[in-house]
Parts: sequence; C-alpha cells; structure tokens
Amino acid sequence: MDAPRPEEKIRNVHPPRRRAHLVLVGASHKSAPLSILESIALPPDRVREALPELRAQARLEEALLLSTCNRTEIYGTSADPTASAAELERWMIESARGGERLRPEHIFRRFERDAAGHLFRVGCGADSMMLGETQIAGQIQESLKLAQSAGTIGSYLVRLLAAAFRACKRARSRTGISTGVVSVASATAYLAQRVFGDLDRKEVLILGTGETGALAARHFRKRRPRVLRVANRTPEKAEALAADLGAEAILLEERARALIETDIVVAATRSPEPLVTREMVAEAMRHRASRALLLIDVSLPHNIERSAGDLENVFLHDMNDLRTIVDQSLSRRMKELPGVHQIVNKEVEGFFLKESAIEAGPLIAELRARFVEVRDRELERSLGRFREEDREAARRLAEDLTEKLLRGPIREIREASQRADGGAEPLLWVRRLFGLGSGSEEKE
Amino acid sequence: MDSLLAFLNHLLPVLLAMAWVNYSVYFVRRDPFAQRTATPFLLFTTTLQAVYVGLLGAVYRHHLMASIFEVFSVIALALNAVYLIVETRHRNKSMGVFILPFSALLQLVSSAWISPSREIDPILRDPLFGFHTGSAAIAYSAFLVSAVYGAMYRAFYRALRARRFGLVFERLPSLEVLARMTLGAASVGFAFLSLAILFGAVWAARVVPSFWKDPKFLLTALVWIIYGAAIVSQRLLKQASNRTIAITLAGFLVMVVSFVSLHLFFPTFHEFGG
Repeated sequence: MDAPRPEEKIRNVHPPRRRAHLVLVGASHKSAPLSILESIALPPDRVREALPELRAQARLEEALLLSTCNRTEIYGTSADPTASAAELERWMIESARGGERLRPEHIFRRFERDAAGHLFRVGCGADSMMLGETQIAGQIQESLKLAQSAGTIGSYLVRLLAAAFRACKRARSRTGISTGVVSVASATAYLAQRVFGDLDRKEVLILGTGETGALAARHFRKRRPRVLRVANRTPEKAEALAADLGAEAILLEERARALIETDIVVAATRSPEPLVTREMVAEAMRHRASRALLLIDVSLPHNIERSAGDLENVFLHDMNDLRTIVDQSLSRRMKELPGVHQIVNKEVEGFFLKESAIEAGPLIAELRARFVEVRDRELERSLGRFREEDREAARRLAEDLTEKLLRGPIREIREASQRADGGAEPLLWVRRLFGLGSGSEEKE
Repeated sequence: MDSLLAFLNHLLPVLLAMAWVNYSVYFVRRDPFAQRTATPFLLFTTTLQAVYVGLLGAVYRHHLMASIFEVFSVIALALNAVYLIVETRHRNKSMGVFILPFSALLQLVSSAWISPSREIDPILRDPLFGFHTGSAAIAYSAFLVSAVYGAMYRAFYRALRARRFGLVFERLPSLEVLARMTLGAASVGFAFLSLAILFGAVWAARVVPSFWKDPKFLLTALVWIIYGAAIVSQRLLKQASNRTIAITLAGFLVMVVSFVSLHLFFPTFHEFGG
C-alpha cells in the first residue's frame, strides 16, 4: 500500500470544518421569455413540496426556492456546487410545464460571491423588470418562510438572507432606486401627492371601475384619503369595488354634485362622451372657495373636457402626462444603479468576511486555549522556584509572552480565512504545526 | 474679544456659503450625506451668528441698527432662524437652497463693510427702540422667506399647468404645502411688523411727534395693509391660494422698491449713526 501524500495525511489526521459553498440556479426575465417563466413558476404549496425533493436530488445541505412571475431561482449550499448546479438545472427542466420548453440556455448558474451578489441585487429590485420595485423583498421573505416550513433552510442561508435584507434596506435608503413611480396607476396618486401633499384630508372620486380605475383606486386607498368614492354606469360594479376597498359607491349621475366636495377626480371609463364638462367644473369651483381641484383623465377618448383645465385653480392631466412622469422616474432609477451595485458589492464582501471569521473563530479559540494551557502548566511547574515577591512578575511575563507569540499566527489565520478560497490549506498547516484538533500533546 | 469678533465676522459668510452648497447638493441630487448634515450645519452656523450678534451688541453696547451693515447681520440671522423654524415645522428641507443665498449675501456684505463704533446716538440704547428694530428685522426676514416660498409656489403652479414635470415638480414641497409655508411666513411677518409699528409709534411719539408724516412710516403702513389684506382674504374670505400669494408677492415688491427708493431719494428720521 502506498504511503499517503502529505495533504491526505493532514486531512486524515485533522479534518477541517468544511465551508458551505453557495450555489444558485435559475431563470429570470433576463434569461428567458415570460411564457417560459410562467411554465416554471410554482405556487407556494408546490414550492413547499418541491424543496425537499430538489434538495435530495441535488445533494444540497440547505435550499431556498424563490418563484415569482418574473423569476424562478434556487439557492442552496453544497459540498460539490458544480454537480449540484447540474442536478438543479435538470430538475428545473424536468419540472417545467406547458408548451414552450425550458432549455439549458434559459438557465443561469452562479456560485459563491456571484450568487450572493445576484440575490442582493434581486432583493433591491435592481434586477427586476420594473426597476426598483419593492414587492420582491416581500417575495423573498415569503420564500424564506416556505423553506423554513419545509425544513430545508439552515443557518448559512438565514445569515445570507439577513445580509441581503440589510443590503436592500441600505440601497433603498441611500440611493433613489425605489423613488418615484413606475406605473401609470401609481402615477395618478403620486401626482395628487405632488399637488396636495398628504391626502388624509382629501376626497377622491374614481369614475369607472375597469382595470385602470380599480388600480388607481387601490393606489389611492394606500394613501388613506378622507373619503374615497367610486362611480360607475353599472351601480353594482361600483358597489363591488367600493366594498372591496372600504370606499363609498355613488351613482354616476351624482358626479356633478360630488365635484364640489372632491379634491381629486380620476376618470377611467370608456364613455364616448365627456362625463365631466367645463360647465360642471366651473359650477363646482364656485362652491369650492379656495380649494384646488385635480382632474386626471386616463380614458380614451377623453372623459373630461379639455377646456376645464383652463379654469383657475384647476389642474387637468391625462395619460400622456402620467407616462411622462413614469418615464422620468424610470430613467432616474436607472441612474441610481451604479450606486446600488456599489452597495451590493460592499455588502457581499462584508458577508463573506464575516463568514470567514465565523470559520476562523473556533480555530483561533483552540489555538489560544492550547497556548494558555501550556503557559499555565509551565507556570505551575516553575513558580515554586521563584521568590515570593518575584512570582507576580514571572506570571505577567509569561502572559505577555503568550499574547505576543499568539499575535502573529492569529493574524495569519484571519488573513488566510478571508482569502477567496477560504484559506483551507494554510489553516490545515496551522492545525498541524500546533497540534490542534487531534488531542495530541505538544512535543517539548 | 475684538479678535474673536473679527474671526467670526470672516468665518460666518464662509459657513453660510458652505451651508448653501450643502442644501443645493441635497436639492439637486438628494444626496444622503447632505440630507443628514444640512440642518445640523445650518443650526450650528445660525448659533454662531447669534453669538456674533450678541457679542457685537454687548461689546459696543447698542442695538445693532446703527448702520445698514449691522442691520444686514441681524436680518441674516433672523432669516436663518425663520427658515429653520419653517423647515422643522413642515419637515421639508428643499427650500434651503433658495433662502440661504440671501442670508449668505447679507452676511457677506455686512462682514465686508461693518465698522461698529462705541460712539453712537444715545437713542440706539433705548430698550423700546430695541424691541422696535428687533421686531422689524424679524418681520422683514419673514417677508423675504414668504416671498421666496411664494415665488416657488408660482413656479410650481405654472409647471403643473404647463405639464412640465422637471426638477420643480420633483423636488419642491407639494403645491399645498408651499402655499401654507408662504402664508405662514407672511403671517409671522405681519405679526412682527404690527409689533414693530406699535413699539415704533410709542417710542417715536416721545422723540419725533410727527413720525406719522415720515415716508418710511407711511410705506411701512402700506406694506402692513397689503399683507393684512392677503391674510384676511385667505383666512376669512377663503380666497384661492394662488391669488393670496400674488398679493403677498406684490406686498414684498412694494416693500423692496419703496425702501430702496426711500434710502436713495427721500430724507427720513429713520437714519441713526450710519
């Protein structure tokens, strides 16, 4: 039988703490068409069932599955990340449903820092289709809960996610990645806020309960106006939306009277004739004293007469204005991306530094314990030879010497553990040099 | 003490210019560092200004109204103080970029030409005169703040009507908040101008019995009436904000034009020591 090579011998004698290797396999709106992403998106129940299955198949230690309409991504830790990534890719292709097939070129793989950086960017909304959106952070939180309930997540991924949330918080507070608005519906409420500030004392009237009207109503609801009214040609529809939003339903015929009290009107119907005329607005303004009136017309054809916008203290805006606001907002968010990437890179480095410190920590403690043990044993053996008044000085000398001798190796351990490869080999040599981990006695 | 005063005299315009740059960076770039530091830095600078004005008054033993340059220092201090109060109340620091150039300029002019003297007209040591001039300084500062806010309101109003969604739309406080800030500052100015007129009338009745014929008094009364009309029309008659703000801006214009022309062309008893 051949003699083992030195590295093997070291490994056999003192097995090191194995590092968790982060692996990510996924497909997103940047790598695959939406029709394919739909075919691999999983509802929460299915995610919970799939997690143990894919963990076993890909031999992952920990696993987390993030599945939204724009991305399906699996994060895991593995002893053999390349093999695990190949298995995860196979799992994704096999589990895809529907007509258009998921192919390998739709799938991306990331490892270690790249994988962590990707997660952090996703969390910040910097990888989202709607740049800077905040919903994704909640979806990551949800996937964490699912992985916890499936029992597939451990301390490493929990720490990774905590770091990701920290990075997101920092990016959102220190850059403008999530400022402004990115949809026409949210732009209606944003425009109202630019005119009136807080809406808690304002009254809002939504004309039309179609998709746009309902979306605008939901955005206004979030800003808690004093009164939110909904009107529609079909009263039942208005009542249904009002009940859903805790709003007040009125008849469309009551709109002229409602204009007197209302501060913001959003018109979103398909009426071929204007529902709000200049005369109606002029009459309302006579009763409104000093209060301004904001009219937002998102209908085609227009539902509010253009000339109503010429009246004093009346602000009339339409779909084009809202699109301009959205476009400007998106272009500003684009400009914030370099700042977000800078924060993400810093946070990723910070995460891996902490991880390496966690891994180096037990070794440093072991090394210190060994030095202290030798020092105390020698002191016990030798102190009796000193005069009573010299013993304290001798003890202090021994302690100082121990600390000074430890300083160099500890620094080296920390530096080695912070290297990209985790410093496995140097750490093994430290264990061998100082006889750690085997319980062997130091040779004098 | 003189060397400390000289040091502060040189330092204050620099600090105010720095504060203005900080507010500008915040306004244009929404820079987080500028956001964190703008208000504390201005507060520190304003405190130093107060120390400077207080020391100047204590050392030279008179109210700082002996020359136009002393007045400028007091108005710069009052301007910053009024601005800080409005900023804190409305929790919006977007307007510092428009207010601070005025206080920095006033302080710079004052620092460049101020030459306080212990030999002054004894009336400048009268406490009633101190209340009169102090109230007037606060009133004019508040009117200046109100005018800046009013001008911004007009700019925002026009941008909205013209459907321009640039920096004015993005960065200024909302239109309604701007209206409240404009009218709030105008109300403060009106209240202090009323006090200034009251203290001035009581004091002048003893010293200059025919004070009511003085052109400066008459123009001050006109400014008081215009601002009073604006406040009444807003609070009692519920006039639309854009009209009320137009009245306040007219009041400010009358104030500036009349005071400049008075200073240049008409004799007035409002000249002491300078």
